[in-house]
Amino acid sequence: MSFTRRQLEMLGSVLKRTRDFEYDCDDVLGKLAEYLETSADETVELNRELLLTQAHLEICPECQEELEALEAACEAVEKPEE
Amino acid sequence: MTNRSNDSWIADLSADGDRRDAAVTDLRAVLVRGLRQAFKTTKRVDEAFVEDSAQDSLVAILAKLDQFEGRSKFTTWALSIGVRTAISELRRKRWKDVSLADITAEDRSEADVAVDDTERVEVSAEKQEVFTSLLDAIDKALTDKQKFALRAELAGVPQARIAEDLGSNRNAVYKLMHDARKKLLAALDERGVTSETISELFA
Repeated sequence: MSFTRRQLEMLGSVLKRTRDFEYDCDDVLGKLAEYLETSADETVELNRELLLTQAHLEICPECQEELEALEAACEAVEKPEE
Repeated sequence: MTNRSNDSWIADLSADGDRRDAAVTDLRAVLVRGLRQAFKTTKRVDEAFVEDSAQDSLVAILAKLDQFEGRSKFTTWALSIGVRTAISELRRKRWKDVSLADITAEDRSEADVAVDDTERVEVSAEKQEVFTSLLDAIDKALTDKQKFALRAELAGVPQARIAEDLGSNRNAVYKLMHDARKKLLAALDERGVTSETISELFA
């Protein structure tokens, strides 16, 4: 079985972040809103659940994409209506 | 639009009649506004897509109301479901006609695993050894399903699309790949590649 170097680099990077216990994508969906609001405040320490969420986001580009879209959506909703 | 607290959202959406209808209308407006902005630069997204996604999201949110724990603003939580609903549909459309059999076909030689000249030579040589061990570990430690999913994932195929081919779901694919990664780490360790080495070599 063969892979490109770039793919093996990606795999190595994900292996580096692999833990015995990880949140899956559904776990993260349930925490994404709380994570977005809490991580925006640098004075607040993330609890265990949010650290697990953060760890998942580091290795799951799909959930990361959803977080970025959520951030944009929330900004639009928070802005006063024109 | 009425400004509601989290408790008011839940109470109004759980009520009957006009009170519920007004809350549903307001929530739909929140979803449309948020999704429109989130996907404003995304190809294949038009107003009809935003409206449809908001409607689908609304149904999902109302079915999950009892799962809202109040740890964020209700609208942020609702939008997280809206975003996943919309992105899942975009990914489904983008990949529905793509054959994973073609993507995962083994049509490349191991010569693709080349040394990057921009790295220090000694690091590259060590990394090349790790790559060789990694390829061997993939070959010997993973199941056929895991090899298929790994190849597709590294080619950028969304998990939901991989799941379709495996007759599974996104979450199950994540678990399948988590198990695969743990197997690879164990197999690498057996080949003398420790987790410390992996941490040092990869970004």
